[in-house]
Formats: sequence, C-alpha cells, structure tokens
Amino acid sequence: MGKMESFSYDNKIVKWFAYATVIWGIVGMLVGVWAAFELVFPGLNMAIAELTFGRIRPLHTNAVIFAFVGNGIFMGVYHSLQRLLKARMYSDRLSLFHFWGWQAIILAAAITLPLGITTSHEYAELEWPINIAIAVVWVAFGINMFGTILRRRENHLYVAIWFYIATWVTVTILHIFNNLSIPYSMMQSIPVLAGVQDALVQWWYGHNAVAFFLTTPYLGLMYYYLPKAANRPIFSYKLSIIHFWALIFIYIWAGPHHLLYTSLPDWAQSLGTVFSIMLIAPSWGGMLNGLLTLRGAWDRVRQDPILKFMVVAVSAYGMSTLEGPLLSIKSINAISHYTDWTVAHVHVGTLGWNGMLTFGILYWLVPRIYNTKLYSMKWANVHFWISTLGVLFYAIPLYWAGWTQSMMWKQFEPDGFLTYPNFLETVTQILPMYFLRAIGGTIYLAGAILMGVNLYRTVKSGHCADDEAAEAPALTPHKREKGEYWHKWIERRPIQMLIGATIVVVIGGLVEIFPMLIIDKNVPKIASVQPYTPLELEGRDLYIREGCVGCHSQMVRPFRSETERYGDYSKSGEFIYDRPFLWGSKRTGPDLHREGEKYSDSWHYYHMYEPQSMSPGSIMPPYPWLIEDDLSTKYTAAKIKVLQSLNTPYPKGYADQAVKDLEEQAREVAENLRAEGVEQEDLEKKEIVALIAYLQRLGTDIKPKPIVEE
Amino acid sequence: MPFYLANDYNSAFDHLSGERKVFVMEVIFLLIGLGILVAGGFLVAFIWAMRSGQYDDDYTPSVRILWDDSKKKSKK
Repeated sequence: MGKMESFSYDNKIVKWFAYATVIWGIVGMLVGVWAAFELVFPGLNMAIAELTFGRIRPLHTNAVIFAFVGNGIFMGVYHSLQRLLKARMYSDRLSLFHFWGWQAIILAAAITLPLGITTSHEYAELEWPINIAIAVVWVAFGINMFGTILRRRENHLYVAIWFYIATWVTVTILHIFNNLSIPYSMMQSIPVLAGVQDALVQWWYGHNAVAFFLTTPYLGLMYYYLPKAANRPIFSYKLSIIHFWALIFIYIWAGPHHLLYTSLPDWAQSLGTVFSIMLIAPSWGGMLNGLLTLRGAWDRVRQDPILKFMVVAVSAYGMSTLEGPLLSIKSINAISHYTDWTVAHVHVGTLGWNGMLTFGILYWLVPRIYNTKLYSMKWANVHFWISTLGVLFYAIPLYWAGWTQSMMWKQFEPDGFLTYPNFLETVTQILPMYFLRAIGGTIYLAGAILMGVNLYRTVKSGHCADDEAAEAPALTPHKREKGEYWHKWIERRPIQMLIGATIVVVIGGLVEIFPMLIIDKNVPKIASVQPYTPLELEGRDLYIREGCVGCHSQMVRPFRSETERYGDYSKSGEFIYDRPFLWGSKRTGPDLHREGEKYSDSWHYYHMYEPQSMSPGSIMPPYPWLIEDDLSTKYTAAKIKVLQSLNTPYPKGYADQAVKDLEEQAREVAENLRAEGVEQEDLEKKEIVALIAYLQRLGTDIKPKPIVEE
Repeated sequence: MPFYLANDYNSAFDHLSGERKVFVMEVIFLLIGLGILVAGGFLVAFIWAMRSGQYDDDYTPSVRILWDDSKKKSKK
C-alpha cells in the first residue's frame, strides 16, 4: 500500500449538472404535457408552425432523454466516479467544457427542432453540425472519464464503473454510424443509407439509445446510489458482475424488434425477437439484485422517501424489461405496434425507472454536497406519491387506448368488411384516454416542480463544498517489469492508450464504411420504382420538416386488416430512393404509404388548411403556412447532386434542370387545383403544391395502371 | 457480393420488365462487423478484468463503497 495522499473531489461540476437536470427535466416534461394536450385539443397548436405536435414531439423526447436523463447521468457519474476511484476528475477544464458544451447542444436542439430542422430519425433528430458537436463533447467526457480511471487510487473497478464505460463506448459507435450523412446545406443533410437499410441501422441505434443511454448508465447509478442510500452492500456483488456482462453482450442485437412485420427480412426480425427475450434474464437479475439489497431494511423504506423512489424505480425497470421482451414477440407486436401501447411501455420505463431514480439520487446527493439536510422530507414524500400516481394516470389510460384502438383496427364484420373503415372513428374513441394521460403527465410534472422548490430551499440553507477534501493511499507505482503484459503497461499511460484506442476505432470504422459506400451499385431496381421528381422531393422534405412521421406510418403490414384498409402491403423494393426512410412507429393518424391517388388534390389542399373541414372531429393540427408560404428551391439542385453521389439514377447534369422541372410540375398541380375550384394567387409557388405532389406519389409506383376510370 | 434475402416482403413484381426482383440488405455486414467489434472489445475487457484479479474478491468491493474517505470537515 502506498502512502496517504490528500486530494479533493470536484463537487462544483456535480452541482451544476444537478441544477441542469432539474431545470431541463421540468422544461422537457412541460413540453411533453403540452404535446399531450394538443392531441386532445388540437386548438392548442394555435396554427403556429413552431408549436405544432409534429415539431414539439421530438423536442420533448430529446429534452427528456438527452437533457434531463443526460445531465442526470453526468451528475451521477461525476459524483460517484470520483468517490469510487478515490481520485479527482482527470481535468477540471474538460469537466467545464463537457458541461457547457452539453448545455449548448441542448440549446441548439431547442432552437432547431421547433424550426423543423430534423433528420426525422427518432431520437437522432438533430442535424449534422449538432451531431459533430455531440461527438466532440462526448469524446471530451470520455477522455475525462478514462483519465480519471487511469489515475485512480483504488485498483478495483466497481461494477458501476463498468456500466459507465460500456455506455461511453457503445454510444460513441451508435452515434457515429446512425448519423452518416452528406450535407447539402449549412444545417441539413441527406443520409447515406436508404429505405430498409436506413431503417435497420436507425432502429439498431434507436433501441440501443434506450439500452445504452437510458439503461446501462442508470444501472451504474443504481449500483452506487441504492446501496449508499440504504447504507448496506448490494445483495450480491457476484450477480451484479454477471448482470453487467450478460446485459451488454445481449443488448446490441435487440434492435430489429422495432421492425416486426415490416419489409425487414424475416430472419433479421427473428434475430431481434430472440435476443430481446434473452434480455429478460440479465434485466431481472439486476432488478432482483436491487430489490433484495433492501431485504431486512423494509422498515426504512416505509419512512425514507429516497428509498421509496428507488424501490419504485427498480420495480419499474423490472416491469418494462419484462414487457419489452413480450412486445418483441411477433404475435403480441402485431397488436401493440403503432398504438399507444408502445407509448405507455416507454413511459413506464422513463417516468418510472429514469425519472424516479433521478429524483431519489437528487434528494440524496444535493443535501450531501451542500452539507445540510433536505429542506423538507415531507415534501419529498408528497412528491413520491404524486409521481407514483402520475405514472399510473399516465400509463393505464394509454394501455387502454392502445388495446382499444388495435382491436378496432382489426375488427371485421361477418360479411368480411372492416367494422371501422373510417380510421377517425378509432381515434375519437380513445380521446378521453388521451385526456387522462395528459392529466397524468401534469401530475408528474407538478411533482417535479415541487422537487425543484424543495431542492432550491435545500441549496439556500447549505453551503456547497466545491472542493471536498479527501484522503486515500496511493496505488503502489508499477515499473514495467520483465515479462509483464504490454496491456498492464499501457493501462498506466492514459494518453498512449487513448491514441491507441482511437486508431483502432478509426481503422475499424473505415473498414466498415468502405464497402458500404459502394454497395448501392448492386441494388436491383424495379423499373417502375423511380426516384422522386424535384417537386416531390421538396414535398417530402416538407413532410419531414413538419414531423408528419410522428403520427403517420408509411408501412402497410401484411395483415388482411391492413391491406383492406390501406392497400397492398409494403415491399422493401419500394423504398430504395427513400433517404431517410419514413416508416414511422406510431399511427395517431392513418398509414400513408398507399395514400397516393386516394383523394383529389383539392381534398389535400383543404385538409392541410383545416383538417376538420374534410374530416370532422380530426385531431390533426391545421397547416395554414403551407398554403401561405412560398416553396424554397434554394437547395433543390444541391439535394439532387447529393442524391446522385449516392447512386440515385437522375440523368447526368440533372441538377441544372431540376428547378425548371419542379416549376413545371408545380404549374400542373396548381392547374389541377384550380380546375377543382381552389382559388388562390400564385398557387404554383406555394409549399402546399409540393406536399400534394409528394402525397399523390406515395405508394403508387408498383400499382398496375390504370386501375379505374374516374 | 450481394446478400440475397428471399422472402416475400423483399421481393416485388416489376410490371415493366415482368420479373420478380429480390432485394439486398448489405448493411447487415456493417452491423455484424460493429457488433463483433463492440462485443469483441468487451470480451477483451472481460478477459482483462478476470486476469488482473478484478473479480478475485467478489464481496469486499460492495462494502467498501459504503465508506466515505472525506476528511472530517473542520473549516466551514
């Protein structure tokens, strides 16, 4: 054992991340509540583009995942890592850079998402400049973390640290590979992959965002803060180690369960299902390990709101990790997918597991670094009951809504016709449930605000020891001995190890990317599936900007209930020019893959202006700006060029001609609209014309023509 | 080398050429590669952890984290 060394823990960075967690948590939940009420009262969209559901839904998800939970992770990691390793963070400067960089990224997201600047990839909506910033800040975090690990005074790496390491490594890889895209402007880009390939990579990412951003770091936090709060060791340390290794080896392949019954190949779907079901074992091992830690201390759980929060959090983890694998079974997924069942499932995980654990940690941690007592235990107790009720009021109505709607979609009359052929009927039926859900969310938000006040009072009553003095014996210094593993040597040299690791990752990355960039040449093409015209392309980008994909899928599953309602089921060959893919994962409105040629152009025109005029009772927001605003063709040529570089077969030099073609097609659509009685000046210049052109094209390529005489 | 995936969702009838076209999904190679890279990396980490004696003692670490090593604060 080395001699005693004095050092200090950096509490300042922990304190700041804690503030950010509370503030962004309240903001993110507020946006969620607003979005939930918009679904019941579409008037709340107020016909303001930046406030419509399609744009603020990604704002909500990004805020609660990356701002609330993200800052929560960093708070917990920066606090526990220093203590577990008996060392101050590697670099105060990197800590500061990490903190402010991350907040700047959040701010950039809060500005760009309402403006409609989005990739449309779920939970990866941010565009390329912000993605680069995320990578830089994330690497800074990694250097800071690994630097601390290498300078540690405690040889053993406690299981929590392994969870942090796995989080960092995997998120790095996921983030890079799901955001491969080619910019066409300062803010926007086109993804390298198209259609089914884009879908697979996106959900490989999407699921692992849940796994490695919402789960593994929080498990690390659980393994530190639950024993600390209970003041007793984890039930079985051995089990925690098995939990960790089993979980990370299995998680990475579960992604395809988001694409069951889609155009993804069957075997890939089955792979996702198998790995998802295997996940029950490590997940429940972890849950039981957490709960059994409290064995013999349940009397304290009755009294201590911090432990109550943690118990409910761990239980919610158990519930959602059982439900998840069940939802990955194809026959169950056939019922649940595209309905609110998924939304309920996600919120049991996020409100229950992430939210409640964060609250518990905040109540435990803030008084400690402020050398004081929590301002009000009673309020914390009230908060516990409020949030528990909030979760129930949120989830139960949504489960009900999901089951009801799914049954209605699939219900047939004895004579073989759909019982509810009008999709809208299945929406108005569940509106009372949507209302209750919004109330549940409001209750949960109220609890978070109460916590904010409680913690504010706590902070005011104490004084934060920004540099907390500590003592620990130094690790016995090693020299490189004869016959020593090279690995042992490199472990002690942070810079060499980081350079080495970076080189390995870059080589790996290049080797993987290279074949991908040449593959498109091999894709067989259906002659009748053609690239989008410039006008349709711009219309598609409007569809992306408005976040239509948040409520409308473009993926007809091979069920009779769907082919009767929508038309022929979707085939992967139809999507080879779809960059990005827009299959969606929720049907708050009907599927749109076979929307083309179903309604007249003027129907779409009036429907976008005032949806209720065409579908009375619809909860779709109005989009008057699409009718008032001129279509920008500034980037049309640039988009065509990028698509050509990705082997979309536009004729050579087509970029120069694209805007002319666009204007001509716009004139045709405008004339058609006028013939149907629409009166508006400069109609052919408006955005709506492009959107109509796109919607009328959807799913028509492989339709045998002509079908019927009008 | 194309990677053919013969099932019904992955083929479509081409009305112009009169053929049934089957689609490829080579991105799976990328994902398998990355999966192996990640899992392999973790495997190395696991072997390192085992060999370096990280798991020789599977009880003490759970108790050790409960001790605080902050100095008793004398100055406020």
